[in-house]
Amino acid sequence: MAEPLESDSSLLVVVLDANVGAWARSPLALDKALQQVVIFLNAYLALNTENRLVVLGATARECRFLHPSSSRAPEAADIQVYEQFRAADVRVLAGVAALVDGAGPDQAQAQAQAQAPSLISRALSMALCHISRVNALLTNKAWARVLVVSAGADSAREYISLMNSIFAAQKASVLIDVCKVLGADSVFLQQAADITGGNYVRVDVDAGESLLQTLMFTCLPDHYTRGILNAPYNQLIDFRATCFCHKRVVDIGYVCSVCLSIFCRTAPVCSTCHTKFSFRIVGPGARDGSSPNGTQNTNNPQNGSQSSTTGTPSAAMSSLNLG
Amino acid sequence: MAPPGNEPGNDEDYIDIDDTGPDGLKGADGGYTWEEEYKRSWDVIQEDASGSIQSSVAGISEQRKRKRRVRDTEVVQRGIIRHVVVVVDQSESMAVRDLAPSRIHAALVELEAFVGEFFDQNPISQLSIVATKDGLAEVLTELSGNPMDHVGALRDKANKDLAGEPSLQNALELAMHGLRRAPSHGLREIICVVGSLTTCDPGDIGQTLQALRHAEVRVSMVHLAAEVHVFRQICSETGGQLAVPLDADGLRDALMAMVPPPALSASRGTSDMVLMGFPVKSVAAAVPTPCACHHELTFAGHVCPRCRAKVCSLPTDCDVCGLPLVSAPHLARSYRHLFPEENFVEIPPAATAARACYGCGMDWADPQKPQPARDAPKPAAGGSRYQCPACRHVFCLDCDIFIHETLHNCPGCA
Repeated sequence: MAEPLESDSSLLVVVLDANVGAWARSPLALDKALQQVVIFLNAYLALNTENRLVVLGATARECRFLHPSSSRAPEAADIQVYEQFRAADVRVLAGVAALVDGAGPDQAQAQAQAQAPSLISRALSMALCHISRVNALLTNKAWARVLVVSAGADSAREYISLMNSIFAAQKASVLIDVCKVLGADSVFLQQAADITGGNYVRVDVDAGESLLQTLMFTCLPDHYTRGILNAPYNQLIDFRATCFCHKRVVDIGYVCSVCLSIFCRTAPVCSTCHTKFSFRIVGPGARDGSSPNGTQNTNNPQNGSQSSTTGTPSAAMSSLNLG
Repeated sequence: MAPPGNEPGNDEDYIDIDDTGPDGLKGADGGYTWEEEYKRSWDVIQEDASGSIQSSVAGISEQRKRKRRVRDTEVVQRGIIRHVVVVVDQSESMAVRDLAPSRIHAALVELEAFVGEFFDQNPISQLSIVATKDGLAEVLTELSGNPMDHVGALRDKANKDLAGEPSLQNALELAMHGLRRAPSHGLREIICVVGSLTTCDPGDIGQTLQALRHAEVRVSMVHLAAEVHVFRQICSETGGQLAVPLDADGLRDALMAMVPPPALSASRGTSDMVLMGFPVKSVAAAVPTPCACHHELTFAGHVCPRCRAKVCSLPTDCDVCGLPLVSAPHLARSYRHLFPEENFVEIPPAATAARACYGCGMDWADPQKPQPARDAPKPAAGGSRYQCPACRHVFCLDCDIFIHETLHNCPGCA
């Protein structure tokens, strides 16, 4: 490395998706994947003695800190192994085992949880809290980044909190790397990586791609090194919105000026916050006129400007379904 | 400021300002209010049992943080789409050095921070900057959603050339003219940073005030010297605020208080459907093409869905067809103002069994324990715990502030 930054130590927070349901359907078993992740963690720790590592485990039900945990690591020290490696390895493996066991032996419950995606946005929030606290305590700040090893699908419920986390990360210049091991591409996490300047990589295990190799090549380099490497290029990230009325992806949409709900056609009343619109569309080149079929909420004639001041957030929350 | 040796009782000997108001200007310890920060700061610090003052200093810094903690969480309709004109006084009164190094310098630095924060929290709003000097007003930047335009104008050296007196009326009229083309569903605001106690106006400012009220423009001011009646009147009648900061920190606080979108009054005008475009980010082409915004050759960009012009960054207005271009995350970023996070409740340490803060996962007493660090200073606060009323998880003060100021969602509820 030519000219180091003011501090060349890093702070890496790894968010491990330990959702048993998702991993059960995978060609790569969770324990095999875990072994590869642990090798990656050791490599990271070996790069710089000042490097800090935090590992978070997330399931559909809970999310907890695995690596720097207040529970003491087992005493049986192995003098053959570097103590830092051993502490991280033992804690991560034991922590994931505890998370998986905690999911419960109940078959029905496990089935239900298999469908539910992991709490990735909660894990990201905790990771950012941790980073902000650590950097507040340090005199020379460490470069912080987050690596999400994701196996589950997107959850529309998480959209707003995930977006909040992404923008908080962007503000704190925290990179978010995403390594998608299983399942379809995650649109939310693609946006997370793109907005924060991290990498989004998908490991196609079926096609023989190795998780460890991908992690080593794309997620190991620090902030400085990334500037001189060619990162994997993300082809096309869709930042278009989905309209609230028909769940169609729209190029040009109509946005309620009060609650920012997106519609694909004009309507006299916003279906989210019941605001009555004036009969004109704002925006250059917009066509005047009202909706040809005022289908929604026309049974709310009393909802004038008075009710718009107390727009119902719960209704808005329930119908927010972007991406 | 009192010399350090003086007793509070001797104030009359060296201060002869008339302070016969209802409460006088006396602070809690008999000194003047503005002296308090300096005057007794050494009395607060008490040594603890081991003779160290560290716990005392930590207590003070925690106190200061806690002041910022409680915020308004009421769910109200807010003006998410704002059109703001910032008026900067460039009269000779801005050369006064009561703010270091001078009023204009301090004001421009803080305004630059304001612009950054403004677009961070109001991604689909627009800003314009107007300057006034020599009895005239001029537009520095037109209404635009690109922070770099405004930051560039504020950094311009020419801004530090001060001349004559400001003209509040001219500045307000010019600002209003700029706001006239702003759509009615958005909020129209003028924020003035003024250092002069006088204004050099061509006509009756009362008429300007009427026009402002008619156009539903909200005028807020930050005055660097003192409160002036006419300024106060304009602010209160248009629904804005007048702040008179005492120092640079106060100036920053006053400006930052205007960053979150203000609540709307019930009687306010209309709501509209706004036509917006959601461009697709185009991938690197084989050959670079010029962008519509800077006329520079670039590989990547966002393509306007209506006219296919390429712009460099979002959010912006398309330079060719004028369509507002946003991405879905920008809209999502504004949702947090509509659904603010609940304030956490302070609870005594004994009331929780949790061994570590739920957010950062660090122990209360000793954050270094899970993560030893040679250069980490001692923990700032071991004392208080803060509990989210919804999910009942317990957080430390640092996480509480981070969650409410930056993150805007509770990790336990997410």
